[in-house]
Amino acid sequence: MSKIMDDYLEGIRHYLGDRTDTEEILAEIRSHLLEKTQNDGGEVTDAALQDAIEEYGSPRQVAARYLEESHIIHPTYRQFLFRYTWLLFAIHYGLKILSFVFGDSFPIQPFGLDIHVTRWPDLFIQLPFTWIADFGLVALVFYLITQNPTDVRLAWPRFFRRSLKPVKMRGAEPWKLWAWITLLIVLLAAYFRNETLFFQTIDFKKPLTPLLQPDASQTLSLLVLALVGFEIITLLLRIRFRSLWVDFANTTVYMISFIFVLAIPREQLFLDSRLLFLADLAAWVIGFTLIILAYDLIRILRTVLTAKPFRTVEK
Amino acid sequence: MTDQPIGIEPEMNRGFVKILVLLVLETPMYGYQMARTFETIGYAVEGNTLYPLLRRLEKNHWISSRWEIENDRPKKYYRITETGREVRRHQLDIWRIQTSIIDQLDKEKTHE
Repeated sequence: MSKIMDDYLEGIRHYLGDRTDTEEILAEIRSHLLEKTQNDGGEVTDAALQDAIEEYGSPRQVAARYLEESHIIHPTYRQFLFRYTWLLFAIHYGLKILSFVFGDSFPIQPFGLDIHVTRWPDLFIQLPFTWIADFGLVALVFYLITQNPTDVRLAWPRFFRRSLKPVKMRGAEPWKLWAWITLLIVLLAAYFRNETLFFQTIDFKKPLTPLLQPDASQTLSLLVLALVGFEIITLLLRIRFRSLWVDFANTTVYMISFIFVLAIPREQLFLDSRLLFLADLAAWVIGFTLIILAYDLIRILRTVLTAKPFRTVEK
Repeated sequence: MTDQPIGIEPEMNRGFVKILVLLVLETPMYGYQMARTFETIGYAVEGNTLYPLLRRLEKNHWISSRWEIENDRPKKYYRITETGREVRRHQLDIWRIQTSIIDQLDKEKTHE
């Protein structure tokens, strides 16, 4: 009999955590269950006690009732948790991209952190870990704020608050997402099979001839894979957030990537020097694309900054 | 009150249970005794709802408690405090206003 009760109360103790009144809570529940069992059946048997316990609720459910008013992160701050995480992530990962592009490091004082990325794969691998680390840091700060009895009014830039719902979003259709995922799978398969995505000729009956020099070949192949992966993330974010800031981030990343491609010396690109004219042609195409992207970036910024804070219902 | 006990869980009824507790605790009672009292007047309040509520009321100093041993079993008796009486008076006023508003709206609806 006591084992059933002890196990049940031990379960509640586990979920209640470290409270000063735990023993008192458990003593009261024990007393209630014993009296109820006695009054319902006359005798306190294992079966009767089991029924009373089942009726009282699972340990987790019971403990939750006592914990309703204690929060790890207060509900009024929860809405800011992901916003601040994305903001911190944008800055943090942005610095990593800049570190890679310019080959520089960014020491973050006084925390002793040094943002320094030298290889493409690192940039790729660090993407999820950076987000998780930023989420953890923001959650920790919010936890500390919640434990503080003083009301803290969290800042959020006004232009982020503006409603962008009336703005027509681009490319949020699910079929596009699946098309990009398929493309990524195909490209990944091609890359892992041939260690490059660039060939002079495509004849599957003969060994494929690489187009680019080994370093450039690997860098540009990984860049293409990263951009396709980034496009998938962008589409997912568009479906979830429907914010023009997603487009802003997308265009910025493409611009940085294209500038990086332009910075590669043309002599280090092709295996066959007769193909150097292609580098000049590509430079012109990329340059022209950059102009279009810059125009797009200005258009997005203008739309975001001129959007009205509150949408009025038009009849 | 209704003939059948009503299972009380929704948020709406928490305020009501709070008033019930403050009303019955003019006489010292322990949790199970309170639950039985409510049952006899037609309201079933589950223990896992009642005890956390009692703890919150005690934390607010609206009720006080003391442990007693009866038949070799410890029981925690609760009693309303002076602050609790003040709160009860205020909450009953609000409850009456709300009830009269609902009655009025209900009458208007039936006359339509």
